[in-house]
Amino acid sequence: MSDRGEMTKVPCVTFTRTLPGPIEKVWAHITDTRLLPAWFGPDSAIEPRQGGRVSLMGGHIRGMVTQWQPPRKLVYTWNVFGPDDAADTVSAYPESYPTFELEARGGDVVLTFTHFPVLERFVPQNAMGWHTMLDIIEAVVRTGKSEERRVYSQRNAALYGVDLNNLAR
Amino acid sequence: MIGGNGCRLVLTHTYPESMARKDIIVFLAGWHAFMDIIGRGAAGEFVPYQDESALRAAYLAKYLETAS
Repeated sequence: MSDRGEMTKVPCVTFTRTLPGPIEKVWAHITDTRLLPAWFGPDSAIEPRQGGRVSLMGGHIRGMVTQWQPPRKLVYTWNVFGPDDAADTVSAYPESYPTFELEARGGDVVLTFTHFPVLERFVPQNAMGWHTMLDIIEAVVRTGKSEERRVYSQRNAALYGVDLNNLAR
Repeated sequence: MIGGNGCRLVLTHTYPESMARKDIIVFLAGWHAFMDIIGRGAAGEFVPYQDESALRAAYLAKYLETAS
């Protein structure tokens, strides 16, 4: 083992979407989980403040808001847990950081999303999952409603080559 | 824990791809300097700031020369 530090690359999943404004409306859809039940599920919440608690998908994802800059930037920590993990369980996976950045451009809003670090084996399904979430956001922002999550998931699973019956663990 | 009262410290600091390598190297050298002294600090010794310029130069040589 060397005492020297090493610089290594880790995968990052990135998306850019242009959505109709106003920016406050898009901000509401990425921060208020009640507006995205098709994605996060009913047992999900992001406390709207720096340091706020994040619990998504019934506690499958837990974290903390590290940057709360309405209506421009949201960053929180992302830790993955199993359904039977206790509150004090340490996640078996590395902590990662979803980042949502919004920029008003005329009447539109450019949403730039990044999530890193992502373990190599999770990259396709990670990209599939966020693609699905962004599809739902886009549908809701544009039309006020979205289809069921599985409609987007199945389409995006094919796009990224993900077998929904055999997900990476 | 790796025997006795010692422990292994693994430090990982993650930066976005958009961050310039030369800027990451500044932190890499800084963390190296920190790791060099943390054992002494944990033992109760006050360790003054260590000049990191040689470490920065070494990491710049290693990573910027191999980046192109």
